[in-house]
Amino acid sequence: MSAQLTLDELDLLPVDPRAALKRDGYYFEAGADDTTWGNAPAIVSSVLSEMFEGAAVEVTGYEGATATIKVRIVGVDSAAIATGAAVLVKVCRREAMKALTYSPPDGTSPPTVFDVLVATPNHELDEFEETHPRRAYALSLYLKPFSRSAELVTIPAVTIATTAPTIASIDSGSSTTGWSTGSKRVSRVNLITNGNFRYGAQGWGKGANTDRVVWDSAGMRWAVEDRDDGRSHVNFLAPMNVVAGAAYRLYMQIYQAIPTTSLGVLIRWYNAAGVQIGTDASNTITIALGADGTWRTLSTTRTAPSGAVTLRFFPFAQYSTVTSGAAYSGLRQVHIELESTWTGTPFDGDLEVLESTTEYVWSGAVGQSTSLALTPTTPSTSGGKILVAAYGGRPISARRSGTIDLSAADYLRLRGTWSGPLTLNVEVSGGGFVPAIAPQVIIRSGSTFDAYFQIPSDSITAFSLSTTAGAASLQSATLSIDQTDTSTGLPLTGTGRSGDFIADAYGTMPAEASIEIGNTADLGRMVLIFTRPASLATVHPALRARRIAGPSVTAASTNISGFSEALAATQGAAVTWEIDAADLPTASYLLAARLTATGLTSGNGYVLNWRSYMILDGTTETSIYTGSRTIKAAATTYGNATGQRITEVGLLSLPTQNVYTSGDASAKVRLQLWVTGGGTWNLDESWLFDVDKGDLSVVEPVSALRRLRVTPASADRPTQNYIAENEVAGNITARDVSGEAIGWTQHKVDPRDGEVAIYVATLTDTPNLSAEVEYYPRWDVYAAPIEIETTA
Amino acid sequence: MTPQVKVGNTWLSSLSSWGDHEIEHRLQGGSYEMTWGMTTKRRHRDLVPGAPVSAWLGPRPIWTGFLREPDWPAGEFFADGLCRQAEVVPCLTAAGVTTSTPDTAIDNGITRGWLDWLRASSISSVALVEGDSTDNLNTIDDLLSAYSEDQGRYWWVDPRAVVHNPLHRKAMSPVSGFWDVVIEGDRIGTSEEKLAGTVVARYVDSAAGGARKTVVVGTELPVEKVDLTNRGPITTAKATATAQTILDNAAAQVGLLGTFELTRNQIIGRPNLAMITAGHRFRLRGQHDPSGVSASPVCTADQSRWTVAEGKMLITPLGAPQRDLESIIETAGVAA
Repeated sequence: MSAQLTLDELDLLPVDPRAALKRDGYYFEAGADDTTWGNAPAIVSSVLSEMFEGAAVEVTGYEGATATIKVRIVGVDSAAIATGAAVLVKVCRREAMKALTYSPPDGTSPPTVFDVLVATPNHELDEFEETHPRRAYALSLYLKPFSRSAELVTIPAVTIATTAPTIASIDSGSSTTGWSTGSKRVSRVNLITNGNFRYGAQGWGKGANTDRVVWDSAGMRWAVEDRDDGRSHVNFLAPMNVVAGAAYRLYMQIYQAIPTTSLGVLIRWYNAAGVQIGTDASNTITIALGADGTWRTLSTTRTAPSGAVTLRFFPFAQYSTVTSGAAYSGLRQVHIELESTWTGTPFDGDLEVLESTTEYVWSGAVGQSTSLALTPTTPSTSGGKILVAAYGGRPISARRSGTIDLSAADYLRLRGTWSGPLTLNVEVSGGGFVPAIAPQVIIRSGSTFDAYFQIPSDSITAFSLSTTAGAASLQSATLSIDQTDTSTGLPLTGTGRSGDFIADAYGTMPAEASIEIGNTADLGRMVLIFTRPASLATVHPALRARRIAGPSVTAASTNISGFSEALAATQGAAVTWEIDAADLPTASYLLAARLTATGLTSGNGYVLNWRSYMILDGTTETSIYTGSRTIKAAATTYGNATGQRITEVGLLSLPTQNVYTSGDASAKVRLQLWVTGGGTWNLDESWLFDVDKGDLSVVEPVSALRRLRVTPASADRPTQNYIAENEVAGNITARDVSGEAIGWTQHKVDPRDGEVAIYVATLTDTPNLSAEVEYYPRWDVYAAPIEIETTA
Repeated sequence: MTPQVKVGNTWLSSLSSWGDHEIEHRLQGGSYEMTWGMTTKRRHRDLVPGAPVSAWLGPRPIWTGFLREPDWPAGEFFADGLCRQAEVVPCLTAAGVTTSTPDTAIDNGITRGWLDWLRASSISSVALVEGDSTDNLNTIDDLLSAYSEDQGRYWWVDPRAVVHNPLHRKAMSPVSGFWDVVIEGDRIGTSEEKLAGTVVARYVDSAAGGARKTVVVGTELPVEKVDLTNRGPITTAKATATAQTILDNAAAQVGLLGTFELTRNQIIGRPNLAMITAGHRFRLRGQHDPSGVSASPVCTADQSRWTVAEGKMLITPLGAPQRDLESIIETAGVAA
């Protein structure tokens, strides 16, 4: 078998030339000499690099290719060759795109098709040929950049996660059975890092009237200078950070050898500028005199005054007569801490931290600091919730023992109320402890959260949930756990109004694709289609599941996201989303949202403000970028049934700072959105669309449709269109909705990434949402066989 | 995703093959000019002069204006930015009296159907000259330029047709405000010629019953005279401030003379070029600061022209084109 070549219906390499000659009086014969398929030149954007030797090079696209085909017409006589030439030239002059099809000789590889945009026949004069019954042409064919397979590939995109996970209740929180306070239940910090003087008087200094400082097992002692009347003191050198308005507990034991008028402690409070607040006289605490040579205990509380950021601590003893400097006053068990609602007894802060125990956790210097031993409070129940109380700003945890079977479920879901980041430690039978697990998804509803933890074990014997209890200025905070469940998967963050699909990408070169979105009923007045290479699908465009803070959220079953929340009027209260920087490819993103508003004044301006920043160390906001979009209200409402179904907010370059994924696993990108100008604004779903490698279409059809097809420029028609199909009583009607598109793009399938991911959002419940991708796989030159995997 | 163009209610991609797309923005005004090429000879109903034209990145508009007469034989299409309506619209009140109050002039332009703009917030409700009305019939472009020069602000009409007057335009630029760019090869030319050392301004004094007076700012040579009388009656303070602004721009200054071309690879963070327009500031890594102060000079883009298919953007820094005194004075909205 020989190779075959056709231009539309013209056979340029007939298998049986004699039969053609007999039938038509002529035949075509393409020759390999001087024939070329042409290569599409890449459009290369090149910049001489300032960062390394050579140029930074990027392919931004491809130009068309030009093929040259040598064709000879062989005929029985000059009339026959003239007829044959006329047929050839007429095919070349066709306005519609032509197909040049090549089949390799052995027939094992599929045919390759070149899309011919324009063909010019160039006659080549040759003396020999003019005197013989043959004629030569060199066809110049202007081609689309790449060849393609002859067969259209139609792939029903596979739905991802359209079924909600199965939730099985383990513990309803109505009984404390099995619950205890966890490993990090109680811990308190002594602001004095050397309050026990076991190994010395490090960190302490002495005043002008103090002769010397010594220490022994009884504590620290100091002797007065050789002089009359005076207050001799020691002081803890480091200023201690405090929270203004919070109460502080002072505990110390003080000893005076010689009768004097008073002894006690002076506290100096300082503001952020380092200026003392109040006078020494107003901040001196004296202790009533007892018999000399005995230890007296001071235990009192003082509230940090407004503006205070640090305190300094000066225990003193006063002398009324000249002393030799041989008698010592003493100090031991000094403890200063944020006042708690519990009382306890002091002890040396030398305790080991064990995840498995319920001992106190001490963060002070071993053997040098005094702490207060606290009596643990046991978990209680209230309103069907397990409650654990702890000290503000300190770790808090709740432990539940009891075997949980996770053989049929991958996730543990905890529903409750807490503040601060969560970690989960689980215990498995005989297997010790698995490293702490962070929640994969947290869904907030009002003040309650659902945290989903992926458990790498089929069965666990106990778990403990740890977090930080409230602000540091709180005297107590509560961790409440409402429900403990298992879940077979992560939650669906949306309602039936959105869907995720994935389809295989064949070929070697990017191909224009037709995307069809379908439903068994009306798709509704907005259809949003976002396609991107599957390798970029680490970040789902919908942001609802990434929300970490903002105004309270309520369930809204008719919203895309399933939730609704007010837009805050200030940045401080703004809705905040968080994405791991490692998950977010560096690219330009379009931030868009579905917003509605009421209570507007027609003609007034309203400003949507966005802010993007990064968190590298868990707390500090850095690399802050901001922007806004002004909306002039055309009515008292916005974005309801009358358009503005999706509101683009801004273009963002993210992450806002380069991070190395290996070292910055904790780096987070955060986004905020709020509105100024007034009105009542309501947020449904928000999205982050990659505009570099993704393609976003948004159509707002004015009437019912069951299918929406985005057609690329095709062989027959060099334009792109949005076509809607509706079906009424079995009659299918189609109409061009291109004019109803508010966001237009060309969807592509790039085989470099193996698969294309499709996200669809609509405004009506579309339980049977489907997606289909149709395209000709494109190749550099020769098409390869394709085996389409069908998914059951 | 590449920008798409809509003319009237028709997307070009639904009409025919098109390309050679170029988008130009200016610091003062925003959307300035857009061009594209089309091989079609199809006279579509929307492809008529005056049709609204916009460029979009997905659902986000990035340029807006209206079509000029297409060059059908060459297949070239030009559109003027929405801000250029200001070049011909006179500053009038509803009663037809000249005004120098930006809000009044803009609102009247919108009401009369001369401006397809939206005013969502106040630009300024204060008259630029005492007594509001002016001797000359100024255009909105004159007024907004004079007002912007007065206030050290820019004015621009965003792609949603809303008019703004920010201190400097911000998109995805830091709070501190610039894109970090590495300029290819050559150094950008600089200049430090001095155009004026003293400015003598003639103005109509509002306090002296309309008498013509003179203020002098500066002490050095050369001396240049400026006529502020077309501003109508103004205070001495305002005349002095305007003369000072002109002197500041024309005094011994160093500025970047040339333009530079950017691809997204040269900008740290690799932003999509749709994010960058005139009015943004650039920190030029690897360039010498002409004033010798900083290793990486910062400039503001006066003009930006994006050649979409090539992925290149031509930036004309502020300071480059205004190298003659006449244009500096003109920018201040007055006559030499």
